[in-house]
Amino acid sequence: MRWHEIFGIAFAILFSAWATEARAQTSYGIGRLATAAEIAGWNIDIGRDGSNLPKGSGSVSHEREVFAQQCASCHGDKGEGGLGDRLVGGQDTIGTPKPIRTVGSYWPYAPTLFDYIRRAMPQNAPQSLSEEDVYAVSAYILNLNGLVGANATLDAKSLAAVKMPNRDRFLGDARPDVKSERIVMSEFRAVARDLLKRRAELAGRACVNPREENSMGPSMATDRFANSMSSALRHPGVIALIVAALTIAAMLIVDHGPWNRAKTQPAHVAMYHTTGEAAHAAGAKVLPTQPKSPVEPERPGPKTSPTVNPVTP
Amino acid sequence: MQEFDGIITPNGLFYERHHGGVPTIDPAQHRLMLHGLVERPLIFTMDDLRRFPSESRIHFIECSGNPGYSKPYGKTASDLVGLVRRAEWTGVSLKLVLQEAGLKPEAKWVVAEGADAAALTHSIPIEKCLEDALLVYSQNGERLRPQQGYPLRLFLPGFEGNMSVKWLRRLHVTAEPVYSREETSKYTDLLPDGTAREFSFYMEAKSIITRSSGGQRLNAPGFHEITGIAWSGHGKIARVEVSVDDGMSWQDAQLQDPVLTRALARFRLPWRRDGKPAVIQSRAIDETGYVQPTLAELLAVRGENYFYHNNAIWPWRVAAGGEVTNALA
Repeated sequence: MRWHEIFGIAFAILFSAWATEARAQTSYGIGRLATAAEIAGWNIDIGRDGSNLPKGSGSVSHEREVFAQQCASCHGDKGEGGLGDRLVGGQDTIGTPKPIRTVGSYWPYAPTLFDYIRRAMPQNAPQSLSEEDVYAVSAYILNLNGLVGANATLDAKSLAAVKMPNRDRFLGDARPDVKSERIVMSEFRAVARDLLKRRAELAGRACVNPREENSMGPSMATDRFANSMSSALRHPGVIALIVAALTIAAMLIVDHGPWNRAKTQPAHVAMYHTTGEAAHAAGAKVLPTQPKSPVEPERPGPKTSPTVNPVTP
Repeated sequence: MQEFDGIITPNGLFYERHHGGVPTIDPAQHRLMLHGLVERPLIFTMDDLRRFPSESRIHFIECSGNPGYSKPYGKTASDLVGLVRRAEWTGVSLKLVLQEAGLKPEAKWVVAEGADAAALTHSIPIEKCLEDALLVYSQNGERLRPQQGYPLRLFLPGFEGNMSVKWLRRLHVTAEPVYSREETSKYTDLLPDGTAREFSFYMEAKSIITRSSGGQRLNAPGFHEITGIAWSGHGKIARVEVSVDDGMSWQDAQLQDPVLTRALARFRLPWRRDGKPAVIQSRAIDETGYVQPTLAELLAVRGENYFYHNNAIWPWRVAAGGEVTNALA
């Protein structure tokens, strides 16, 4: 007995020394170590492979009663849905215009059913069902979906072994999946090249490779520029544009040129140096401010709270 | 939402979404456990967490289904995309807390669990936890409100809102996701061919004109300012373009400074309305070059049952009389 106590105390000292040492390794030393028992009590996550499923089991037959008491008021007697989600059926509807997503038609992994029922159901008293009941409810819902037999009993191993029909139809995020039709600069070049090509084809020439165009000699390019200029100048539309541009330029010069400065001024600017003088002349009176006492006088009597809605006498 | 000015949402006007009601939690009793693939599993009190160096950043948070893809579409901006808000979030960097426990090399995911009735569970990739995730205790300067996760929530900038687990009580460091009910049967995106996308976290670039928007009325022709908000889970908003002619032409709107990463940006464009019917709309372009798509473009790829992550351009129709309505409804 005595040895037992001595060992116990020695272990406690060693443990706290180890814990202090472990804490000393962190940068801030904030928080305390979680014990294995605390973690086991808190960790209710069930992996898709059934990892962390508890011991115990539950059968379809046991569950009909519990389901009727705990689940049916929201999910319907046969899991057909109501206030709560529909749990059953819809297995041929995924991929149609009116998909019905249920445990049977959509959920990829059966252990998730145990995880969710245990953590969140029934909604008015989550985490109140025994683990046997959670296995049994899971078994019942899977049975209603035709995924386990009516005599099935599920435990950690057999629940993880249930293959859900929709399991392989989940893919990763493929966005951005839509490319807007707005033309951005890089595309603009491609569009311009296309137009060039089409024009060349219409002219009955062989397809113009943009690289060939780039490799044209400077003299050839200059000739081409001169030719296109002279042909453009013969076009009446171009002549009209030039005339219009010249006219607009002339109008702007007449309106904004140095000979067209504004000659009128507002009265107060013309006659007074400051707006104050103008105001005085117009008859405005400025009264001197009353000198204020340096200390605000104390209000006589007890302090009152301000009236929210003062009553008019 | 259409009545908001500026870019910060007051706490009393935040949207709420929960999976098992709002729990009443005594902060003195609340604990956060960090365990799994770490050198030192730890338990923190709220006082402990407030002792860490604090960090404060401005980000948006948005519900993943904001809005869905099928009719009826909302009449007002708030009905349509009202589940997005922006706040200043204060807390401790998750990276710091994970380093305090010491990550093992095989740590790839962190499973976060709430203390609500649903014990809401989500798997977060470790890259995000080490990039910009926060353990938040204050929002816009005051302690979190109960509906927003008091006393502690996870905050993942740019990710769909449901992953920022509220009333956070446990972080489980693992090698693979836990495949919880939420991340398999609920927040997955069903495609027309029957396959579904899982672990689709980011909210892509999006914008909405809030003035003038559905339900409002322009009393007279003449000058009106068009304004709205834009945001992207992938970073900063680079540009917002606005069209007032049913998408025929687009012009750059002015962005309000500062434009912050993974935050709402306000844009403005002066507009002289000639009194004829018009369709006005905005599209956001983020710093990755991503362009906000049209609803038709999204539907062509995703179909109506995709449900989440709808970031379509949303046009408003302005009638000759000035009434503004949803142009796609």
